Amino acid sequence: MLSNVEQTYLEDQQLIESIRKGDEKSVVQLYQLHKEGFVHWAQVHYQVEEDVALDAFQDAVVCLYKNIVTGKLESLTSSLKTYLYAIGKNIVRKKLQQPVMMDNDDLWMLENLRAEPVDAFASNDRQRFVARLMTTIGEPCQTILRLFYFNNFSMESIAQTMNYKNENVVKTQKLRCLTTLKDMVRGKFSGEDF
Amino acid sequence: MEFSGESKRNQIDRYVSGQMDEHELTAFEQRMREHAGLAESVHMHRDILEGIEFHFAQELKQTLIQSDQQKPKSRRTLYLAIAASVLLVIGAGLAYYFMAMPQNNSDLFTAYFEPYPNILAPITRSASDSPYADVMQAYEAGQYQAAITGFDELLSKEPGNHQLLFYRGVSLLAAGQAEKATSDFQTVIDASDPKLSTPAYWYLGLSQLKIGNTDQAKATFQKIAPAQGRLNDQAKEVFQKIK
Repeated sequence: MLSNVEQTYLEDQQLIESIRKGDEKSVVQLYQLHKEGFVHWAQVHYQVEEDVALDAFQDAVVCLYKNIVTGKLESLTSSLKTYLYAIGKNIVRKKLQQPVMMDNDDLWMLENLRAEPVDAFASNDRQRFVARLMTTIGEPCQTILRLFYFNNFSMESIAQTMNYKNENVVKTQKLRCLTTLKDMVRGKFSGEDF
Repeated sequence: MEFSGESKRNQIDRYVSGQMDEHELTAFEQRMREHAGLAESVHMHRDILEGIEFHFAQELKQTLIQSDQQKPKSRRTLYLAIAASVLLVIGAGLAYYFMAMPQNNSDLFTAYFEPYPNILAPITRSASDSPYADVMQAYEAGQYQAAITGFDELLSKEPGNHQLLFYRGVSLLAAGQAEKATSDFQTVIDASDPKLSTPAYWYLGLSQLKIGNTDQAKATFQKIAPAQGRLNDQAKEVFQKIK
């Protein structure tokens, strides 16, 4: 018979494994599971409006996702919920522009982890412009770039998922997509100082 | 030193993605110090990767937001949803009892069809001024005939608005006019709007399923099944279940 802690650990590990494989439903499941609890908690502890708390929690789930797929969060030393709250707490503080005072447990837990608002993922106009271009780039670039750079799939996995002959075909196609983006960016930013 | 060959592009990509070993890294950084053009290319490449990540992070966040919109919004709608579910279960049980038939394609349509969330003019205070607010309110309330009339009017003023065409297609499908709906979805697909392309394929497949064109429906679902995403996963499931 498993204890509650062991049961939670196993469930968390399974969730992490599904997310690592690119299962979007597991991310939504994780979000829905802890959303109400976090929003209430943040409203009580930081006196923030509900929409601010919810927005911060959505960002926290995106960050947790990135930490999982990039391998920054492989073995858990606390429950997934604890990580999610620590990341969310950091994001609320950043959104409120309060000095980020964290206790030692949080600092230790967030070491090397991504914990920032989604808006901060882009730090300059060129990056924000690329993000806008991505909505126009079409297939197969959308899927290849998502699987490689956002889901962190290997070339081999992408070839299997997208029914390409082998990983070399994927590599060539990916470079073509990046070159297309680069040409579009050059067209917009040529002559400007970066 | 610019992107002048695939090998160079590859090297920059590997450098920015942190995939170089120590030896390769030292040599590459030395070349960057010697060639300002190479350093600039690296800077540009890094911005492109950050931009790509930002785009997909926003997209994932949007998926989370949409998952909230699909949930019942009030206790009353929750009760209605429960009552509808109970009726559905009873209905499905009776149908099975009386007909003892395996699941057919019409059941598949019923099981998978749900209106696309309203992301055109979400019903909030800030969106109430949108010219689409009234028609989208009818859409969200399930008043599809009223919504279709509204979309017809809006489309007469903005014939090239693919979002309106898409939502009119969903309304037509929900109102049982699947034939007409296919034409709207096909126009949206032909426009190659990356945001609408997958949902349009999904609802086109459902329309074809509803009409009984199962071969066409399978071909449509097959087009979006390989990619990642909720609708892509559903397309995969329906493709396997179509008889």
